[in-house]
Amino acid sequence: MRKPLVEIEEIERYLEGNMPVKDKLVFQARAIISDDLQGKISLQQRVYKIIRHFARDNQRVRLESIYSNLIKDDHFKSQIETIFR
Amino acid sequence: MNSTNDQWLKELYKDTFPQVARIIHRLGGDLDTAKDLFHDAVIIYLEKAAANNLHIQTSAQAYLIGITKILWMKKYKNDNHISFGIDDNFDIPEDFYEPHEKNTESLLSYLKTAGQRCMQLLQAFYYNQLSMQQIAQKFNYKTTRSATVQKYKCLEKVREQIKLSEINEEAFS
Repeated sequence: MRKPLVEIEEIERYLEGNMPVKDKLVFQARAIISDDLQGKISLQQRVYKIIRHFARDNQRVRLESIYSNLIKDDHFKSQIETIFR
Repeated sequence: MNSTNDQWLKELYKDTFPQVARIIHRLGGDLDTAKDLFHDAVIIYLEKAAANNLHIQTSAQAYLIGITKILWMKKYKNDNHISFGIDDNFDIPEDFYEPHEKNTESLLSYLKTAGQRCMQLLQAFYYNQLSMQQIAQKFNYKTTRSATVQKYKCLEKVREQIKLSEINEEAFS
């Protein structure tokens, strides 16, 4: 793998707590003295957040589509209409 | 998600949503509010189930009703203290209602089009918790290794896009 990809893999192991204690201490020491590495760690955390947002948006679309299909069913529709009448 | 899961989810929706809607209506909410809260509750339930982080003694239906009530209290009564005692199953993920960082919406809308395949792969691994072997099959990679390398390339691509959006934000602010 290219060097930047190896670094991404290493940051991932650190963030997921999958690094042996010795490697973790070395990594943390590197992060303390390197603004660049600190920046990359924060950026990678933001990437994971973006993935969660993306996935949750997709789940909302999927659930909205289930609702749109269910509301075509007369029984379901009448249940919902009775509640919010 | 496969079609069995889709059918299960549809049945769960059909059986549970009317009960949730009745409760939200009694609390003063409208249909859209009931739907939004119920969808959020289902998402939280599925996330916990995918991470094997759900050890509930009740049915999925009872769990969803409980979570929806908590979400209502949190969002509309601003009560962040409500919980079911020490039961972690009812915790709401920390970033669930966190305000988005700046540029998030434009970034997401870009990634949904230009980087869709990458985002789907990343979602499959990090969100749906599929194994790299399942991902290699689903996305037609010959080996697990090549799928893994692609996963890191995709992370790099999203990372670069975030950097670019931050540079653009600075340039136009």
